Amino acid sequence: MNKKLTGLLAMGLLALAGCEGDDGSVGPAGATGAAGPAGPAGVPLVVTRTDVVTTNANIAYASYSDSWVLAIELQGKIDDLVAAPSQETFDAAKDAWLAVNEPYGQTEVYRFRVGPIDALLPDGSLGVEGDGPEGAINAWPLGEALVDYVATAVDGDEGSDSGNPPTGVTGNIISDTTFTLSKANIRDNNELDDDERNLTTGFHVIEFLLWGQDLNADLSGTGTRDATGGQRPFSDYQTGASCTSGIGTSSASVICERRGQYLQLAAEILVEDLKTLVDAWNPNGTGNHYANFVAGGDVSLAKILEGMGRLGFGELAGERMNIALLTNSQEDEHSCFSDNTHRDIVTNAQGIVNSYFGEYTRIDGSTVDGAGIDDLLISEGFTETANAFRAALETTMIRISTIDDMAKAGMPFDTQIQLGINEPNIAGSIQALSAQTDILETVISDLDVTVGDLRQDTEEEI
Amino acid sequence: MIRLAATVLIGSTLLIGSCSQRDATGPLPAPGGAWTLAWGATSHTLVQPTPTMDRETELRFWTGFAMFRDPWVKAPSSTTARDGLGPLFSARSCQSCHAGAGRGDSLLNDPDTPAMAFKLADVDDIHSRFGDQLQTRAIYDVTGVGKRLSGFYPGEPRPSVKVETLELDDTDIVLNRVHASVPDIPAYAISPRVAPGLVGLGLLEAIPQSRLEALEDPDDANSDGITGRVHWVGEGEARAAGRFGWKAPHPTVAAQTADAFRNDIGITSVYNPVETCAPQQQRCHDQRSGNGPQGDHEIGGILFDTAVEFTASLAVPEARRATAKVRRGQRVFEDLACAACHTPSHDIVVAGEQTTIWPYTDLLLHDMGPLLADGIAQGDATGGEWRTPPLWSLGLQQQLNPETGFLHDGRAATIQEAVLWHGGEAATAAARFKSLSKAEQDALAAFVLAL
Ligand code: HEC
Ligand code: HEC
Repeated sequence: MNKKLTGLLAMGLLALAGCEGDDGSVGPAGATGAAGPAGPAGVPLVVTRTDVVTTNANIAYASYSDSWVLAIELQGKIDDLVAAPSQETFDAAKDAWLAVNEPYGQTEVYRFRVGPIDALLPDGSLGVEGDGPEGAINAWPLGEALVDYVATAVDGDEGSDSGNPPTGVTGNIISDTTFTLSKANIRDNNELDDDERNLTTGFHVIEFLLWGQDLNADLSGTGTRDATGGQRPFSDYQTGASCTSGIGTSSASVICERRGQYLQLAAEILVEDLKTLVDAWNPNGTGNHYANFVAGGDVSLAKILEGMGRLGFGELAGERMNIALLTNSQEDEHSCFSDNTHRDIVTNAQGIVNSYFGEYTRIDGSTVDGAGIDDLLISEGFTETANAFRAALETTMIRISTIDDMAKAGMPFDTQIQLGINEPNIAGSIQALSAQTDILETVISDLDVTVGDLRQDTEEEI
Repeated sequence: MIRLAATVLIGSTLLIGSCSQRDATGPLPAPGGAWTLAWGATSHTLVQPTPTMDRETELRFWTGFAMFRDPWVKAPSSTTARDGLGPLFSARSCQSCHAGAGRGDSLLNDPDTPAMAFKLADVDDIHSRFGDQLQTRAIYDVTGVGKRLSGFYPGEPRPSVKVETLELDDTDIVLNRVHASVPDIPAYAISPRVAPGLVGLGLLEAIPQSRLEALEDPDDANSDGITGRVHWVGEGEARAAGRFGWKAPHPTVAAQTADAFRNDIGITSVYNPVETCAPQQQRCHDQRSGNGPQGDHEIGGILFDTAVEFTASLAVPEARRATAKVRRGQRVFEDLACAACHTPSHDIVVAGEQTTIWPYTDLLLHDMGPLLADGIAQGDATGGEWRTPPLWSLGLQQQLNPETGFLHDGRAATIQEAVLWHGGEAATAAARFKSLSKAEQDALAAFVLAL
C-alpha cells in the first residue's frame, strides 16, 4: 500500500463510517489491509472506476427489473378490473400503478445520458437521443383529449377562438369507433415519425384511464381545487346499461368496452417496453448495453455524473418545480391525474442518491450494494468533496421529503404550488438542488472526467 | 489577439486583411468570446447554458428548455400551460425540428422529415388558402367528418419531393437540389427551409446595429462585386435590423421564437395572438384554443420569456483543433475573400462585458444568384436574397445530425457543395473555389468545419 493511500485511509474512514456503516474493523483498514475481506456494507475501500460503473449498471438492471415485474402485476390488476369492474378491482389497479412508479422513478437517473432509455434501438444497439422507449413509457404532457373524454374546462382554462366549442366528449380515440384498437395502432398512430408516436402510450395514459382528470371539488374544471386526484368512477368500465363516461354521464356500452380494451393494450405495451430495458441492462446478456457500459471506464463514469446533474437540476428543479412555481395555479405536474407528483420528485431524487452511494433497495427489501462514487472520491483522496456531496444530498432529501410529507398529510403538490412562489418546501427544494449541483461540478472536476467525445476532430492530423 | 480585435473595430469592409492569421499557430479563437463552452461538457447535444451563467439564471434556462423540448398538446388538457397545439401545425415541439438545439434533417436525406418548413409565395390566392407557410398536420377532428387520427382535414398537403441533379463543368461533383410541390401549389411557390442550429443567437443579437450598417455596401463602393444590405424590419421607432431566419425577417430572438411557436406549432403568444388559420380555412377557425383563464395566450408571458431566454443563451462550443490542414484552409478562406460576407469577428458587449465573437457572418442580405433563389420575397428581402449564415459550430451540427444538409434548403451534403452553389454576389468566390486543387478545397472545408 503506497503512502498516498495510507493518508487517504486515515481521512476517509470517518466518512465511510458515516455513510456506509463500515466500522473499519474489516476491509482495507482491518488486519490484512486491502487484501482483507470487504466491510459490512460490502464496500472495499480501494475502489476502481470500473467498480463504480459496474455497480451503477447492476442497479440499473435491478431497478428496471423491479419496474417490469410490478408492471406485469399492474397488467394483471387491470385485467381483473376489466373482467369485473368494481370499486375494489378499480382501487387495486390504482394501487398497482402507484407501486410500479416507486422503482421506476428511481430509474430516471439513467436518462439524459444517451443510455438505453433514451436511445435504445430495436436491434439492441444505441442510436441517438429520442430513439429509445422513454417517450413511449413516460410521455408527458399527455394531451388526454386525444384519448378519452375530458371536461370542457380545466382550472377555469376554457375558451375557443370562435363560437363552436366542442363538448370534450367526442373526437377522441375511445369514442371513435372507426379507430381499430390494437397494439400496433395505439403504438403507431403517427403519420410522420419522431414526433407523434408516443402520445398514446405509457404510464400517464394508464394513469389517466384509471384516475381521470383531476377536476375540482364541484366536479367542474372551474371551481376551487381540492385535495383529491381524478374523479373517474369505476362504472366507466362497466358494460351494458351501467356504462358511464364520467360521474352521472351514461354512455353506450361500446365506449366502456373500448376503454377497457385500450387500458389493457396500454398495460401490455408498457410491459413490453420495460422488458427491452431489462434486456439491455441484463448482466448476463452478451454484447448488450450492460457489457459495453461496464467496459466503458471514464466515459461511463461521466455518463453517470451527467445523468445525475441533468436530472437533479435541469429536470427536477428547472422543469418540474420551477415551472410549477412560475405558472402558479396551473396543474403543471407530472402525475396530475393521480396527484402522485410528490412521489415522482422523491423517487427521482432517490435515484441520484442511489447512484452516488452505489446502493439500491429492491422491492423485496433486499439491497444491491457496491462501490459508489463516494467510495471512489475517498479512494482517490477527495474526502472533503465526498462529504460535501453527501451532506448536499441529505439536505435535498430532507427538503424534498417535506413536499412528500405535506402531500401525504393531505395537501398534494398541485395545491402546494398554489401557495405561491415563496412556498418554502418547494423553493427550499430548488435551492437544495442548486447547491447540490454546485458540488457535483466539484465531483466531476475532482474525478477529472469529461464526456468530450465530440472532440473527435474532423481531421486526424495535428 | 488583442491587436486583432482592435483592428476589427476600425475596419469594416477592410476586415479581410485585418483578420489574416496567415502564420498563426495555436488554437482557433474562442467562437463565443467569453461565452464559449469548453469541450467536454457533453457528447450528444448543443443544449448547454453559457458557462458564465449563475445558477438562478440557469434554472430559468432549464425551464425554458422544457418549453422547447416537451410536446404541446391539444386543448383542453389538464396541463393547461402546455396545451393549444394547432389547429394546424408542423411539429409538436421545437425539439422535433431542432433536435438538441442543432440542425434539422434535409429533405434529400429524409423526404418525410417533420423538421422542414415550407414557406409559400404570395401569388394567386395561395396565402388566402394556406397562409404563408404550410402546416402539414392538424389536431384530431372534433366534429368527426373525414377524420383520421392526428389529421382533421388532414393538415395542409404534404409536398412531394423531386430531386434535380446538376452536373458542373470542370468538376466531377454532382449537385442535388430538391423541388417540393403539392397538387394545388406549383413548385415555384414553395420554398423548403432546413432548421438551423441555434447556438450563440443572443451573441448575434448583441452585435450593434451600427456595426451592421457599417458593413453594408449597397452601391458596391469598393467594387468587389458584393453589396450586402441590412434587412430592415418594422417602421419608425420599431425599425430594426433583421438578423434571424434564412432571409433575416426577424430582428430579435423573441420575434423569431414567437414566429416559430405560431407557424410551426400552432401556439399563440403575445407577439402573435392569432392562429395561422388562413381566411378560407373555416374549420381551423372553429377549433378550441388553449388560451389561459385570464386571457393569457396559449403560451403565457412568463413561460414565453423563459423559452426566449433559453433560445438566446445556448453556449457556442469551442472551435476544434487547428491542424495544419485547418490552417491551410484558413489561408484559402482568406484568399477567396469568403470573409467579405462571412465576416469573422465582431466586438460586442453582453451582460456589461465586452468580448469578441467569431461567428463568420455579416448578417446582411446578399443576392446569391438564380440557382439559390427561391423567388419568394419575405419582408424586404427579394426572391434571390439570403442572409449570410454564421459558420460557427457547423461541423458539430453536422456531426450531431448527419441527416442534415447545408444551405437554406439543406441541398448541400458537404461544405464543398455549399460553396459550389454560391452565385450572384458570391460568383467570383465560387469560381475561384472551382479552380483550386482538390487538396485546397478539402482544406477549406476542414477549416469551416473546425470553426
Ligand atoms: C417544423 C419545424 C420547426 C419547429 C417546430 C421549430 N422550428 Fe425553428 N426553425 C425551423 C426552420 C425551418 C427555420 C428556418 C426558417 C426560415 O428562416 O425560413 C427555423 C429557424 C429558427 C430560428 C432562427 C435561427 C437563425 O439562425 O436564424 C430560431 C431562433 C428558431 N427556429 C427557434 C425555434 C424555437 C424556439 C422553436 C419552438 C418554439 C422552433 N424554432 C420550432 C424549423 C422549426
Ligand atoms: C456574397 C456573400 C458571400 C460570399 C462571398 C460567400 N458566402 Fe457563403 N454564404 C452566403 C450566403 C448568403 C449563404 C446562404 C445561402 C443559402 O442558404 O441559400 C451562404 C452559405 C454558406 C454556407 C452554408 C452555411 C449553412 O449554414 O448552411 C457555407 C458553408 C458557406 N457559405 C461558406 C462559404 C465559403 C467557404 C466562402 C468562400 C469560398 C463563402 N461562403 C463565400 C454568402 C456568401
